[in-house]
Amino acid sequence: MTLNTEYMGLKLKNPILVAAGPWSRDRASIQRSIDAGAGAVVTETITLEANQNPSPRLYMGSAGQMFNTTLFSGIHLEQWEQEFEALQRGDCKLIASIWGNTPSELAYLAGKVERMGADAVEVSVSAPLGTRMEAGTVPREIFDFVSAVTGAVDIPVSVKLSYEASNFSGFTASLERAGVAGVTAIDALKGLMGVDLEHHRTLMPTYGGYSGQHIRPIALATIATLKQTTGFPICGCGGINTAHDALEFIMLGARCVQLASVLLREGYEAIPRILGDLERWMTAHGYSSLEEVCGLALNSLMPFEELPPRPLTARLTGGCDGCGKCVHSCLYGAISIRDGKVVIDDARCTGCGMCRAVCPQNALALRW
Amino acid sequence: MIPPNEEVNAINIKEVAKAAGVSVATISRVLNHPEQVQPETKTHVLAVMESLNYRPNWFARGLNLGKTSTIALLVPNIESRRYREILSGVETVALKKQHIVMLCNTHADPDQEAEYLKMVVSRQVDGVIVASSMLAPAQLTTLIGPDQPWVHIGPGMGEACRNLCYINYEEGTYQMTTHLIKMGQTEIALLLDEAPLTEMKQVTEGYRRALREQLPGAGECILTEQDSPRGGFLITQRLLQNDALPPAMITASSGQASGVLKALQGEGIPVPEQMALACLSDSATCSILEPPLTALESPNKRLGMVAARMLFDTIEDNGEEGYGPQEVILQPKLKIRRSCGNTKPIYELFG
Repeated sequence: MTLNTEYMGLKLKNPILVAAGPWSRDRASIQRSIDAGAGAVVTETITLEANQNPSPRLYMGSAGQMFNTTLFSGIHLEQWEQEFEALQRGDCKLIASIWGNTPSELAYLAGKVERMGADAVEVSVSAPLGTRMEAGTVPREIFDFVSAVTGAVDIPVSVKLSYEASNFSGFTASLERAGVAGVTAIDALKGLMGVDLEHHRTLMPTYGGYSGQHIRPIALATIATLKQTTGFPICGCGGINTAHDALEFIMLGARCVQLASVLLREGYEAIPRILGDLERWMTAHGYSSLEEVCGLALNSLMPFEELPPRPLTARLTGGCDGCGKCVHSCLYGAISIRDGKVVIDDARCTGCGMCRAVCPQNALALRW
Repeated sequence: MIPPNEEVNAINIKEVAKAAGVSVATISRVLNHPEQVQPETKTHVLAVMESLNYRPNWFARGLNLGKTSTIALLVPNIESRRYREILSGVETVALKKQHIVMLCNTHADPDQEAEYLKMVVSRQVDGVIVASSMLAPAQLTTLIGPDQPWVHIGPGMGEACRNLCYINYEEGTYQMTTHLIKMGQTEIALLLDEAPLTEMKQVTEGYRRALREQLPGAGECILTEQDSPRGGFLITQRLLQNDALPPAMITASSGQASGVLKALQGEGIPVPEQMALACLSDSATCSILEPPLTALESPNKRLGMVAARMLFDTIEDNGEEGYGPQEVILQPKLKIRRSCGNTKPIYELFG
């Protein structure tokens, strides 16, 4: 069994990458990901200036939602050069994340990181806060930005896409014309954690990047879309906490995935944990390579219009403890409780599936 | 206590050689090519230097090596914040490269600029950065010479310059003028510095393009006055006296704008209700003035850093790096605050 994968022509020893972010802010932090066994590490986003980050900049909502107001690397390009040199990379690939406000600025940076020894470049175009590349959503301009980068370097160039950009075919078509070798999706969404009602204040002073497990369904739908609408090799990103999560992205067609906020909560130990679980799952299911798994679930998708009309209704399959949750959730008034047991009125049930979804005992099923 | 100069320079390389019992060439090798010297000789020589408090003369050393670890930066006006920020960027990179920056203030005088160029070239600097040159491209290249690495900060050098970087003020001014038009303004005045700086052409072009595209038929109004709070104050008083105060104005700097604001406040004219005000160079002042001023943030420090990097790319290029001609254009950012009629806390979609 091998976890080897290929992404944009880079031979990766495994599909678990570390995303651009403060956990990849310098040599020491990147080295920890390398030593933990990551297939590749993306640097924190490098710009022409060292940036100052506000404090606080990391937030967590009451349901574990992650928000950040971090933007770019706080160290200078010259320092990055030394950090790159001092890295013991082994068989881990190093991808430099870069951001710039004009095509020539990005091209210059890309040329620099290539000379510094980056294996690939990931262009950040959609940070959801602060200095978003304002041209980010206009196809013509994104073409100028990205083709300046692809024209400046020989190493592969990927673009980190926002949810919006991923679902805009004009944008992705521009990237294909510009010679991009792969895409990472999705970047954090734009979010506000909440409002303090007593003090009439937002819980964050500005929009933040919303990330973590809560955005995973959005990322999964985006990967499935990109896989079908573009020819790009895809690196999945967005709320990947476990090997199971990673495999979901891979089964929808991602070649590899990037870990991000899980590293904030668990530290670099998340990398060997996910790798170990991934390997065990592959072995237990008799797969010898990721290629056999990649995209397996895509064919189970169909357009809404094609969903077969099946006259299913809810049935009790046992184990009901009479809690009554399904009674309240039934929009059609089809469920009642008699003598402490659920009774379903077939004539009223429309088979929506909500009762099955809310049943804590798994006691309901939809049947012909 | 710092010893007087004579004491520092009292020891020269010959005396060190004599004290260490080695040749002058050996001392030179220890300083410049330590890898070619036997380790025990090196340790001995360094110990003797230490005991004699010997400091190598960097200028003499530069003559021998053809390297002085010095770069020159020529700016037209060191009192302007823009050039101070550029200097800060250049210095940041130079320090990382262990080079010293020689600062030359040309006072926006082409003769002075030419004189400075001759001086820095004769001092064998490793490279030259010229900001907003007042000289013709051909004259510049002649003065600098064909083998000297150099970078120009500012547009419009044509074929004369291989390494060029600048901020796109045309687009920035276009965006600012457009913002005022979107806020309902139809008569927008542009107040510039009375000294003719090279960026002004771009600024005027951006202003004119916005008017042409979005207010066809509207007349332009370009004024000049000293770029200072006093300048802003005086021209506003003059405009008020002549009953010619425009309903919207873009000033050269936040300093100039603060003078305008002061004069308006003196007459009880509220901003933005009776006059929309914006300025072309953002500063910390803009967000604390009342109302907070809409301004164009120029990445001046980043520009200085890019210029220095391009210079070091050329200085360090041993033919393998393959650096061709480089041109980097940076984009200013329009910071929309309250002085032009905006009332939203975060104006832009992705603010």
